[in-house]
Amino acid sequence: MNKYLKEFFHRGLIFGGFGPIIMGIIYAVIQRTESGFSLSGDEVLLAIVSTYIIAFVQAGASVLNQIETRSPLLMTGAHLSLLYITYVGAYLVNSWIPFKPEALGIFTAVFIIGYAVIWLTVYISVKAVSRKLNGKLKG
Amino acid sequence: MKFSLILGEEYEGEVVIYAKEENATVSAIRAICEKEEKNIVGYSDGGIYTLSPYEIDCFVSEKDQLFAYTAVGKLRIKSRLSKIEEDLPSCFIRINQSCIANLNMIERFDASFSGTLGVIFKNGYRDYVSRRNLKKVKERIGI
Repeated sequence: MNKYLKEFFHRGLIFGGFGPIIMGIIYAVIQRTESGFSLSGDEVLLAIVSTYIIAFVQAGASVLNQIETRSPLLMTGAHLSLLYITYVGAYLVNSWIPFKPEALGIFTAVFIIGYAVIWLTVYISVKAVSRKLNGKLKG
Repeated sequence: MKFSLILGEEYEGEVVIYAKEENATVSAIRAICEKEEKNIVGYSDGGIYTLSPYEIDCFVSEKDQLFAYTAVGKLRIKSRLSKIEEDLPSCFIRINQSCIANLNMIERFDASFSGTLGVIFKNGYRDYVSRRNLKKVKERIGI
């Protein structure tokens, strides 16, 4: 098996379980704040499986940043696409967002903004490291 | 053994040992110096070049071939990256899976679009520090 694929599954298996735990916490909060909230067994099962997959892919996809044989830009695009497909798929299957163009548009916008904020945070942190290293080089 | 170190811009870098005989310590220092002196032979369409490692900006593995980026251009090296890494002086460090950089030949670092740390060499060649190698690079440069 390809070493990156192996690493993908390895990370996914380690962190996949966090998805259902986070989902359980969110459902517990909703139950305490919204009267008459209830779920069927099928809904719970579907939510558990899909949040497990989200966490699995989220953790596993971090390996894409380590593939050095492809351009970093291509890998960033692959990372974004993989996460987007996984998230949008899980949200639609669970009916957390309706299958309507407007809803999908808003979801996509929020997703891209969220990704961009995280990217910007990483960029600023790398920029700070580069500044420190340049200071040492000149010193 | 007494140890003296005299630093100055005017010195090229030479080790002189005064000793009664060549013992283990002297042999170890000799081995380090000889390793540092190992020259690199590079090939290009224009001819064959023999270079000191210190004249090389970086070694890059591209499609199963090894190249050295130098002031005289890109030279083909008849070796493998992992093999040549063993013989290089301490100013060289692996910055990603396919590049070993000469720290003295780095012009500057910069953040790249993909969120990785970019490296710009004095000859203009660009590469990047992988996340896996970032810690070692930071330690070597001293941050």
